Amino acid sequence: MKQKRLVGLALASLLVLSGCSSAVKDNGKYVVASIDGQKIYADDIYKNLSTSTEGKKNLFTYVLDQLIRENFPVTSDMKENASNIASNLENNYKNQYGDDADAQLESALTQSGYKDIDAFKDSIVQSLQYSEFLKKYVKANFDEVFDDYYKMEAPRKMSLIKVTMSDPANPTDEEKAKLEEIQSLLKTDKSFEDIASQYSDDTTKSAKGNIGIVDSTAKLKNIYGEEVEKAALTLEQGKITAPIQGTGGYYILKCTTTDKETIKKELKTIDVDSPLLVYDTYLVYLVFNTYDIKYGDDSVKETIQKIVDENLKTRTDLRKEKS
Amino acid sequence: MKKLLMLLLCGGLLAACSSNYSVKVSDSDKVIVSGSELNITKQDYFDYLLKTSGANEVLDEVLLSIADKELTDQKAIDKQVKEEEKTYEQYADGGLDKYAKSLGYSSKDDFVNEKIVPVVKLNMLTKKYIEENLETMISEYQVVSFKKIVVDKESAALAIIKEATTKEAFDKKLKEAGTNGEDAGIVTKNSSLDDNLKKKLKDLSKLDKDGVYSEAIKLSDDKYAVVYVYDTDHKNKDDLIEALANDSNAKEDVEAKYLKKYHFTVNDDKLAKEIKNISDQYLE
Repeated sequence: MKQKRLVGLALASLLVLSGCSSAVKDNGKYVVASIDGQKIYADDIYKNLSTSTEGKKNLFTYVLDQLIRENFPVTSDMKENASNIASNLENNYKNQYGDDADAQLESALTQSGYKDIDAFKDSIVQSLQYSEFLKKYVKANFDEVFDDYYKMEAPRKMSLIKVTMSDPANPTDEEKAKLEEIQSLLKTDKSFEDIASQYSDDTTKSAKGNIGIVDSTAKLKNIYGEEVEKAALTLEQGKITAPIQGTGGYYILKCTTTDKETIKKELKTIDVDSPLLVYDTYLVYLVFNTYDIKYGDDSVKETIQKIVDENLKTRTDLRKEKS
Repeated sequence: MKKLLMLLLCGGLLAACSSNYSVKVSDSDKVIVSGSELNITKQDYFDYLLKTSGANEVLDEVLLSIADKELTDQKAIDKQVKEEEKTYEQYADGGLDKYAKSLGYSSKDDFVNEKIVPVVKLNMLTKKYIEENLETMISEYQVVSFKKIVVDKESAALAIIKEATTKEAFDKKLKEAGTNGEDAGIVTKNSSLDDNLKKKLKDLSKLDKDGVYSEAIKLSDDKYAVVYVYDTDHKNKDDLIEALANDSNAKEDVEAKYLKKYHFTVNDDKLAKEIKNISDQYLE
């Protein structure tokens, strides 16, 4: 009886084995697939994929990904952070869509390329690992990175006052009157900040209209509209704009300061939201170059170095153009 | 205890089968990148490449091998490649070489060999099958060339059907209809069409004489379509083949038929599953 059971188990294991594709080899080389009279070897697939333009790009992405994973492993804080972001998202959907929230969220996640909420969380964790990778470099090279950021982005501290309008193109008399009153007050000695805290309809009202440090990475147009962003990025220190039609109303902007040292002081603490981590898309190549990486294959070394060198050259060219 | 060990062993094998690729590249253990906590072997990178684009690469490789067997007219391929190059040249701002480099290719030649030639060959392979089986494909995919006029009332539609007895008469009505009329060109059952009109394609594709379809087709928005079917003798062969080759479902079916004909097999479960995810017709 005991023997029968063992035979049964052995058969079961054979079934498991046969369920697994039996590796096919030809002259010691693995055959991935075949058609009549022709075999496709693993080496052929490797060669095609690794030498193609797409494959070369993939090589850098893969090595970078491994470098980040090994040097900045996932922490419980990252997991918790990702869970909180996901929970907030789920709650927002519940509040907005009620019983249909799950379906709406699933659809939104799919559209953004996530299989499910767990995949979304994984992606946030990966982003946080990536941030840590950049953060370490930025902290260690703060003066140099900040100087470059200041030169490239011309950051400034901004404040704003918003007058909400249901149809900004056709304001009501009441909305017009409120805007006119704010404009009149701005001609008096009352400060912009006090007017903002008393009259602004924006969420920054409690912060006296302060929207913080603004640069092109802040994507103000997504919140306030394109014209508001344009004005915010060009306004001189101490100046106040005329009312600008934007998203959901009119805006009056003030450039509080463009002073380098003031802004530098504010950005000294590098957190995940720091503009210093996102302003330069080529920073990753600079950081990658600081690691002592050894190559056991000349073509791999050549491919990676070429990608890094080309991108760093583009980065240098951009800075030359700017100056 | 022994049983438990065996069960664990079986379980381990199962896990190994379902989660990893079984195919190995030569020198798989060779470390290609190390230092700074890294220890990446050639196999690690191969697995990554398989995961990102292995299924598509195997399919492309196999279909291109089949194309090399099926397409024997090299001059025709070269001609088609040149034409495709010209099309890219037209749209590439600053020339094809610059465009190729902007996409990461080292030169125009690399772009032509890596991108254009495979696309041309696969397209010609699909068209070859369609050409050889044109009437069957036309019937299967309910291919029809038609013009249509949309009106609000059934009575108006029936009046047009009664009056537009010739091509010239229909074309006059079509012109008068302005934006309510159009030459839909060649459509298949997978084209983007009103659902009710799509249901009629089977009947329309069977018509063997050009002319106005005898019924007013009630559309899903409660309007009525009057349809004039043309090219029922399928003389417009090149365009019919082109339309079928552009139908992604038809293209998939054709590729599946070639793969079956050449007894396509994959020796890796994970890869096979990924290929089936692209189309369950590609592997039996």
